[in-house]
Amino acid sequence: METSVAGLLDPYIPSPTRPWDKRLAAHLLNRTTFGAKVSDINFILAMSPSQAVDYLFQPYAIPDPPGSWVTEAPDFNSPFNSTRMAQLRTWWVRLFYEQPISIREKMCLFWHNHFVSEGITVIIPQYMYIQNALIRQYALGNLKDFAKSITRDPAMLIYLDGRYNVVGNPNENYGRELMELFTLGIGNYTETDIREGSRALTGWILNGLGSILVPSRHDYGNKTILGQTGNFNDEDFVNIIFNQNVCAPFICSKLYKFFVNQKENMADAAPIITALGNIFRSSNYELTPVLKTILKSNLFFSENVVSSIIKSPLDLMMGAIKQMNIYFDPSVINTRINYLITNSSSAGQYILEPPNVQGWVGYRQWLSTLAIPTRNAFSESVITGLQKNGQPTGFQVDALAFAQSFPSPNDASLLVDDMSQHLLRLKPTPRQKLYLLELLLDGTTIQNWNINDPLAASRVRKFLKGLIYLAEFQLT
Amino acid sequence: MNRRNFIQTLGVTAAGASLTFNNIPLKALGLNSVIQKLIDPLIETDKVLVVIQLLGGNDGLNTVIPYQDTMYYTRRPLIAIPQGQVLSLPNTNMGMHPAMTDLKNLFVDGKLAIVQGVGYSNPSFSHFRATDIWHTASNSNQYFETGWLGRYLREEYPNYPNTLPPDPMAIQIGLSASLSLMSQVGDMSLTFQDPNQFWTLVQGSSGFGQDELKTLAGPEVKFARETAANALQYATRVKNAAGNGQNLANYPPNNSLADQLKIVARLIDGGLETRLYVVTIGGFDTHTQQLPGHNTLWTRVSQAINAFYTDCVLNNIAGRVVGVTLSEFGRRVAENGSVGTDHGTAAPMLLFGNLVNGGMYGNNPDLVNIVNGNLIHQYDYRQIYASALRQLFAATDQQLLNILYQQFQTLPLIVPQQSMPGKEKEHRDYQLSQNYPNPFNPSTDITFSLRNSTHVILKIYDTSGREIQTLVNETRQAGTHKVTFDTYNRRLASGVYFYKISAGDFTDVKKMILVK
Repeated sequence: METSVAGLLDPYIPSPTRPWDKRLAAHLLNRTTFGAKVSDINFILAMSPSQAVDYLFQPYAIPDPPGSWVTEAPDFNSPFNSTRMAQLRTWWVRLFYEQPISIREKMCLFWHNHFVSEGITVIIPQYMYIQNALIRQYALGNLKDFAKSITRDPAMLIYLDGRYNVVGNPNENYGRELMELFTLGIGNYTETDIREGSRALTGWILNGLGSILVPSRHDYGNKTILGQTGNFNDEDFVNIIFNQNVCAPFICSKLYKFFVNQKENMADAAPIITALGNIFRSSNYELTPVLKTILKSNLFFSENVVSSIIKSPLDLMMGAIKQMNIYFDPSVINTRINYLITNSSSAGQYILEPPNVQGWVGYRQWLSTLAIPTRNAFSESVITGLQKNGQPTGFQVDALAFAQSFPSPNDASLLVDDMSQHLLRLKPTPRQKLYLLELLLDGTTIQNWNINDPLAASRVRKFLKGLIYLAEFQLT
Repeated sequence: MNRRNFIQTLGVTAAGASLTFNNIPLKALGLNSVIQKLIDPLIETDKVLVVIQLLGGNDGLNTVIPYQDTMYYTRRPLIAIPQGQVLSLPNTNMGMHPAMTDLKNLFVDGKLAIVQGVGYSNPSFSHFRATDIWHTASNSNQYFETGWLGRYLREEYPNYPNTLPPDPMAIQIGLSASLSLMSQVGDMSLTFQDPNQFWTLVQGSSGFGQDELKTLAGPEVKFARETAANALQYATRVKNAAGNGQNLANYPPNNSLADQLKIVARLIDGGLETRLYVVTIGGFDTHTQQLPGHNTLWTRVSQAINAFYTDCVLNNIAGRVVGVTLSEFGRRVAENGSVGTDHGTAAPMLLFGNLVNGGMYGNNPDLVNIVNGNLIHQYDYRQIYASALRQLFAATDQQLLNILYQQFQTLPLIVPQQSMPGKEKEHRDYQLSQNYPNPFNPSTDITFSLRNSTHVILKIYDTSGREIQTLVNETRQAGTHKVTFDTYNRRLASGVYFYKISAGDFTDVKKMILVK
């Protein structure tokens, strides 16, 4: 096992001791998409790990917008604003379900949680859609350009008060978060930099569906930002920020936590973050090279990091649906997606409404004593078709078809192994295996287990219910 | 054997070992609430601290207002509260925001303390860093992973999580626990929004996680497993307390803080022995158009606190409960160009309750000698923490040092309470620990400690009082002993089981859960 940073970031080459198998293919897909179906795993397993990662970055068509309203003139008092915001939300989460095998939407969610805006503050659904489209445009693109565009983005101008930032009396809200949360991290600038930087950002206001600089509101005086002095505007400010050495590792640290491991204590990770930062900086802040480096690496495929990330509610819930291959008919799909959105919200992740400008902190904050039962209740409902209050959900796993998508459905022991591996990636302990096998057999013997038995479907469901309640199911 | 006899058999009496009996799910025992009340122990009740967190950085100068200082109006031409609208506070030169009628009345009645100018040196202006500082009780340049409330609970419950207290040590009303409640051994709180909904969600839970993992997944599995077990452990207890308690005051509608405090009052009245509650209300980051928003916020906070205080009085629990507000920072002295205020420094903290020494603490804000447009703090926020822990919970000097890492001078904010009832006081010579893992399947380990060589009987019972197994019936040497209860190959149903130890003059009963 290589231990040097270079070795850890070198591409993973399958070997007899570390084979490229269903388990590692599932690991890659579950971290980069919203849940790996059995068929998805089989599909990418035909490629090499490196090819599989490249495949995730293939472009594909952007779907039609959620409605013709996205081009309507914004109206803060429109009675349609809240229903349209809900439509946008459903539209996006549906995309998580319907997308081909691709990293794009996972990265869109990453950026939604980075360049944060809250729908409840922005109010105008058109602006949230435009921001969502901007995020999609740059999700795998150039971060410096992305940061310049998001600075002038109408939703952001509303959310962090940029539209009120005016010469002579700057509003510091955006300037502070631009450096603290979006690019440099706390401690890498001074309060004076915030005040001066905010002056460079003055003058931008909303203009129809876009934004515009009003010269009389802009501060054309000299500003001193991060040691440089000049008549800077917003783009200059972003350029100055991206010339700071700390910018690249700050972003790479977030990417590392998102894809590799969430540990707060990054001491062990520090040299890796530094190395990734160098790659990111030397590619002039192009995201694809650094992302591919992470995802192709020995580190990413190492046993240490497998199933070590606490799933977000969307990861867990959409994951349960996709991993168990649940099909939603187009006639009911929006209802199903909204059921998922409601539950994800109850578990702490209401998409388009992050809790504050920091976004969802995630990690162990996903797992309170309330959140875990909320997550489990959803997963259970996917299996039983019933909510905790006894109301039917209208859908449930096709337990037989799911079991039969594995190679040995008539071997109870192998079936337990395969389904556990598919849903957990962590190998159950002997004690857990015994427990899971007992649930599957449900009174019958291992010799008499038969997938064609009339009771088989209910037995598989009983097994799946036991499995989703294992603490390991909270992880990906 | 009827159930009352079963209770006696287990040695559960009104004052002693019944502590551990408290969290037996009613459903499992089939007891109605009348019997439940009969067997509920008559424990001397504890004091309760309710922490109300104002998220976003409350503008102190428009909350407790220096309306007699012309500089206030000079620096805030558009957002200052006009003198005629300010609620003047008797015997002070200060006033309150006009939305705070109820809080003014509390102040006049001597039930509200205002500590002016609370902050710390080298303040952070970041919401997130500043919030962490307040939660972890750190200096501005220190980074702690545990919180002041969590460290306090660690002092009071040194055996957690090996021994689970009968009731949650702390409750956060909400969806995720605050960093203030983290201790060296993890999250010390139970987090939920509605007791009944929470109970419903937890029903049917099962499962456990492995503890052999050596990879980065290991600590996360452990964390998830322990959190889920806590939910299972306390959901019934919380639901019962909510069912036994009552709200006698009218709470204002459409007020999320009132909704949370209503639950807190109900749980305290219902007999939950939880000492700390944390509630939150957001929206204080008033960069723009501050006047209407701040007015709404303080209308809500003032009315919610008043309803809660009234409820405590009517339920006769006001002598036990103290509330305190805190926020990550105050705001800039001068208004910004958006009819709002940017991030600032020192601000007032409010404490309320019958145990509070009401009145104004500290000097009025100095609006002239400011640093970069910000107030200089008079009190370190940890002085208020130290005061609350010392006066309400009778924390010792050594405990305060363990919790806050430095000595802080206290202010006489609360009528000092003499001693803590020793709920966690263990027998000097014996200790029975919580089984591990729990819930379990098929086997679990039970640990007990003896100071001297003693004859020990350790038996397992089911919920009907039937003896399942005698694990130990012999003389054991001094020291710690571990015995395994193995259900493998036994036809035992999933559910609650008890284990009872008798040794010398010591008996104790604990609950465990088998999940299949």
